[in-house]
Amino acid sequence: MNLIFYEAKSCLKSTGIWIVSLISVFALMMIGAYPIYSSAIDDIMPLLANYPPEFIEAFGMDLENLFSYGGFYNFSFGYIGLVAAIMAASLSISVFSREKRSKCMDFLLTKPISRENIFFYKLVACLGIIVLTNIFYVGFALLSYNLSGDKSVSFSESALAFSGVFFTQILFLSLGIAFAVFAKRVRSVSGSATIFGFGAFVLSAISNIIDEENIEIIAPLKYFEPNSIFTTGGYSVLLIVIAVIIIALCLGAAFVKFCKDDARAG
Amino acid sequence: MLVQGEGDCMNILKKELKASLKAFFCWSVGLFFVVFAGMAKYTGFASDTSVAEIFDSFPKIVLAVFGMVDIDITSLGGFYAVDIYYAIICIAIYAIGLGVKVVNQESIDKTYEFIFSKPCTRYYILRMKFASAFIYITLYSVLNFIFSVGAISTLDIENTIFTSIVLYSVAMWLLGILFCTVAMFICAIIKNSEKGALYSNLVFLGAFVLGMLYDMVENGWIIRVFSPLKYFLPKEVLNDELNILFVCICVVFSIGFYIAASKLFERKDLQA
Repeated sequence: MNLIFYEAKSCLKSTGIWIVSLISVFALMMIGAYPIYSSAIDDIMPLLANYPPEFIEAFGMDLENLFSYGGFYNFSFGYIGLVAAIMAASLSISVFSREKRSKCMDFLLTKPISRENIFFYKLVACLGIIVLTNIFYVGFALLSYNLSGDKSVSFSESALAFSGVFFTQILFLSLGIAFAVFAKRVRSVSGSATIFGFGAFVLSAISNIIDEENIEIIAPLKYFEPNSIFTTGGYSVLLIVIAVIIIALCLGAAFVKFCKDDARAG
Repeated sequence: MLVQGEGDCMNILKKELKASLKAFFCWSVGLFFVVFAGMAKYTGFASDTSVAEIFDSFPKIVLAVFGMVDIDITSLGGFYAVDIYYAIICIAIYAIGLGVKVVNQESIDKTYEFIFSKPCTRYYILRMKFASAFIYITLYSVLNFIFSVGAISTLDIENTIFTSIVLYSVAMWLLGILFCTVAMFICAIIKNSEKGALYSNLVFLGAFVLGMLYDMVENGWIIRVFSPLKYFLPKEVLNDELNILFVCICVVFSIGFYIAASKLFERKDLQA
C-alpha cells in the first residue's frame, strides 16, 4: 500500500496540471470554438445548397455529421486524445522507470515485497490516476454538453463518446509501461511521452490521408474515436479487439520482464 | 587557454555523431513512412476550380475542421503541403530531443565529470555537441528533399512542385535549428535536467496548440509569431516564396538562443 501512495503522491501535482489541461482543451474547443463554428455553418449552408448533392458527395464528406456537435467533438478529439495520450504515456513511463532513472532499482527490489506486487501496485497507482482524471473529464464534458442545449446525441451515446479518452489512456498507459520496462535506459520521460503522443497523432493523420478500409489499425488514437459512436452507435469491434490484444500483450510482456529482469546498477 | 582540436577533443564530434546515429536512423524511417505513405495516395484529382472557389468563401474554423486551411488538396502542391506538415512536426520533436541532449545528456547519464574534465573548454565541448545536432538536422532536411522527390517520381506524374519541395526542406531546416537552440537555451537555464527536457517539450506542445488556434481564427497574425509551425504557410511556399520576415526571425532567434545557451552553460552548476 505504501508503494501505491508513494507513486500517487509523486504524480499528484502533474496529474492536477494534466486534468486542468485536458478540461481546458475541451472547454476551448467545445465551449469556446463550437458556437463560432455552428454559427459559421449557418452562414455557409445556403451557399452549399446551391450545389447539387453529388458535388458534396464527391468530396467524400458526410456534411450532416460533420456540422453537428458530435462532428465537431470528433474533430476536437484529435487534440484532446493527443493530450490524453501524452498524459497516460508520461504517467506510466514516469512511474515504471522511476528506479531505472535514478539508478536505485536494487533499493526497491530488496524491500520485503515481491516483484509481482511491486508491478501490481505501480499499475494500480497508474490506473487510479487515470480513473480519477476521467471522472473529472467525463463529468465536466457531460455537464457542458447538457448545458450547451444541443440535443442531437443521447445521454448514453455522449457518455460513451466522452469515455473514449479513458480507453485511449488505458491503451497508452500499457504502451508506456511496456516501453519503460523494456527500454535499457530512459533518459527523459517528457521526451519519450511526446514521441508517443505525437507519433500516434502523425499516424492518425497519415491514416486519414491514406483513407483505406481498416487503415485505422495503424493509428492508436483512432481506436476510440467518437465518430463511430455517432454514426454506428458504438466503437468498432475490430478496433476494440485489437486494443485489448495490444493492452494484454504490453502488460503481460512487461510483467514477465519486470519479474525476471536483472537489476542493473547503472 | 587550453589546446583545442587535438587528440581527445576532435574525437568528441565523432563520438557524438556515432552516439546519435541509431536515433537518426529511426527518425529517418519515420520520415520515409510519412512522406511515402502519404504521397502514395495522391492520384491527381480532376482539378475543379469551382471547388477551390467555394472553399475560399468558407470561414477559417470550418476549413480547419475540413483540414483545408489555405490549401487546395486537389492539386499536387496542396496535397504535398498537407503531408509535409507532419514531417515538420517530426523534425521539430527530433530537433528538441537533440537540443536537450546537447546540454543535458552528460548530466542525465552522470558522466559529466568525465567529459568536462577533459582538456577542452566547456564551450568547445558544447560547440562540438551542437555541431553534431546541426549535422543531423541538416541531413534530415536533405533526406526530406530526397524522399519527397522520390515519392513523387513513383507517382508517374510530372513533378510541378520541385521548387516548393526545396523551399519546404529549407523551412524544415530553419525550424529544426530554431527548436534545437530553443531547447538548448531552456536546458541551460534550468538547473534540473529532467525539468529542462519537460519545459522544452512543453514549448513544442504550446507552439502546436497555438498553430491549431491560428488555423481556426481569422487574422491571427500575432498568434503566428509565437507558433513556429505556422511560419511557412502552404500558400506562400507553394507560390515559391518563403516569408522573409519569418526566415529572419528564425535565423536571428536561433543565433540569439545559441549564444545565450553557451554563455549560460559556461557558468552552469552541473549536477547529476
